[in-house]
Amino acid sequence: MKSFFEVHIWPQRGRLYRLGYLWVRDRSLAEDMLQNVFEKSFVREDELRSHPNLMGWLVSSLKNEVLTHFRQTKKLDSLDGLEELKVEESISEDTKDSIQQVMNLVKGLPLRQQEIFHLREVEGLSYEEITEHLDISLDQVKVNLHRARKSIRERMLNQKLTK
Amino acid sequence: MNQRIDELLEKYWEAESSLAEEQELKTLLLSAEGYADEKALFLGLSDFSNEEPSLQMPTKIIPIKSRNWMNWAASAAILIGSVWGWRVYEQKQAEQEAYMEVMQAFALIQTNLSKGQEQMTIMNDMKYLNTTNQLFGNPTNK
Repeated sequence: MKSFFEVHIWPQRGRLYRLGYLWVRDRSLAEDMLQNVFEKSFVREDELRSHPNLMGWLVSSLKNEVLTHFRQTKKLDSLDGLEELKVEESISEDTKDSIQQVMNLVKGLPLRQQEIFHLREVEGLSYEEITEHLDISLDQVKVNLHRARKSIRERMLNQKLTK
Repeated sequence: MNQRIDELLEKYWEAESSLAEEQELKTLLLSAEGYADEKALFLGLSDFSNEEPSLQMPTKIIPIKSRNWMNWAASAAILIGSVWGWRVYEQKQAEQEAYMEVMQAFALIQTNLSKGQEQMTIMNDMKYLNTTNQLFGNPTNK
């Protein structure tokens, strides 16, 4: 018989990993953080069995790992203005060129815009699914996605002009 | 086809497109000429979606539950063992002391017996004297 972890949490590893990878831009670090999230999920398994939004908890837990990392590396002093935090991690060398281009385009965008853009474009989630993942309103999803795409379009145009 | 792509792209950038329209846009771009930047963007996003972690499924580590009663039981066992050990030790000591006292008493008896035997030697010598005169002398011989 499969465990709760095997059925409900382990299948989300890819999606969580990619989200962590987007934020810290380092494969190994993203995997370490994911491992920490899994360990936490083991400890709180009883609570998670009846959690109304398991994926939301997992994303939130992963985000906490990332923020702890940012605090340790002095990139963040407090939790104030968290969603407006501009993630500008350098991209590790083993990242594919095509992915590096995407990361460069979203680089410097507020964390909230990055994650919404990622969940829509990379994971192919609907607006409703994104609201569930991030535990935010539909309007926030639409506004942030619009801003993210607008910024990315401008960057692409600027890149074209500078070529 | 390009007109449809432009239309979908406009909706896409305004964040007004549905998932189905975004999928249609990506499919149309695959066979369209030009749109290099958009193609590069969607290719990167597609590559990103294929990224997977190289993790082994972790096995659950069952946390050792707090077992206070075991600590108490272990402490009680040690205490009882210590008391029992101490009692046995005391009993052995008492036996040893009693033995020593008995031995000392025997030694005392032995000593006194030896003294008595020495005193008896004189008496023993008397057995070689056969007559009263030998014992006390003969006054006529004087």
